[in-house]
Amino acid sequence: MREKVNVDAEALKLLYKRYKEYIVPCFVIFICVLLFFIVIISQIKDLIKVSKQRDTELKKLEVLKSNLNILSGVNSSVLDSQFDVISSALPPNKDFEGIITGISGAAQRSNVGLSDFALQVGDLSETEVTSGEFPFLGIKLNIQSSYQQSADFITELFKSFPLAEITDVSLSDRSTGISVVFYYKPMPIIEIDNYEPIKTLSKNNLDLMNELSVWNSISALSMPFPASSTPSGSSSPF
Amino acid sequence: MKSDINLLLKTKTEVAKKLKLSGLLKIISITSVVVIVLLALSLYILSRLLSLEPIKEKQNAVISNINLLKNKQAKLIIVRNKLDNAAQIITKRPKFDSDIRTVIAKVPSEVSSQSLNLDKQKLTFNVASNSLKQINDFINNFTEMARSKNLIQDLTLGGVNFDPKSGSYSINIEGSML
Repeated sequence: MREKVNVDAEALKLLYKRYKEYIVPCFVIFICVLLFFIVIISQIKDLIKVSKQRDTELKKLEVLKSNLNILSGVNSSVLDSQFDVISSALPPNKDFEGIITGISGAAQRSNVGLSDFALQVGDLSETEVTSGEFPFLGIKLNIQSSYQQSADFITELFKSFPLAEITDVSLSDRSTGISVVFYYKPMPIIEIDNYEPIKTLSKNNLDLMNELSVWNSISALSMPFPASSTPSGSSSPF
Repeated sequence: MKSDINLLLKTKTEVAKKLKLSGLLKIISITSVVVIVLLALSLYILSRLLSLEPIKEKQNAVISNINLLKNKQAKLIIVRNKLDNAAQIITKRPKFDSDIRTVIAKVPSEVSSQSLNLDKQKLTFNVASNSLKQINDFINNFTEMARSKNLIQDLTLGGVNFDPKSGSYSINIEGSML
């Protein structure tokens, strides 16, 4: 008949001694399984995460290298001249001198005599308006010209800087009234993100830049506006 | 002769089974330990290999080089931005110069233009002529322009007036710009 066994320390010791060769390896296996699930699997997860981060960082590094290559490859003098041209086309502020030179040059190139148009200087400050994202200065011009000369004048005005837009035209037999707005654009606040890929000028950008450069060179050939030849130019604020 | 007699004692077979089992357990436990150690070691080496530090150092080196070219970068961004703005302005501005030329080309030779007003919405044109036939040609030309959606999309005839002193007819037309 079996003895009754009390499960106390002595009994546990007895059991341990009796089944030691099973208990120890089982315990080791159990610990190993625990380690595998608790430590190894979480380490593998971390490793996958780090590997993804590494890929991201490597991509960032590639972007940085590409940005550096682009910036190193940009010709400073070409960029400076492009900057000058576009700053003339769309100045950062009200470019009164540029406006008057533009009108004067357009008048010369379209064979509208300088005495044949009147600049309402008072409107320069009064008609300052902001439309959409481009602020502009509005000017009303009166030129003494034929229909054809008026069309030529507008064509030439379109090629002058700052960039202009005609809002309305009133042509009569010998005179033409033109409402023009000259645009300007304040310098944007630039937040440079090094990890953002730098975009070079696209083909459309370059085509437009070439066109603007041609217009700029044509404008540069024009004579400056002589102050004495404005019929209403006696009150010039410049 | 009987051949299925087991000469070993029952307890001895049990002992053999137990020895076999304990041996197996030992092998499994040792293998487990070795596997865990190897895995831990491999993961440690991999984590060292995949360290982000060297990449960050390279990034910082490139950034410091880019910082030397910040001025260039800013100019490039401004040029691009302003070119986009300029393209927008140039594209949307009405081409009144070509509009005037188009209109003039439609005026018959014996018709004189009195006034022409153009804005983004409408065109208003006053002309005069001594010949009603020429006035008729003028109206036909502009009607055709409206029909073919050339510059204007519709046409309103303001009326024909006759000046007995000069003997000329004047007409006013109005059209909505395309």
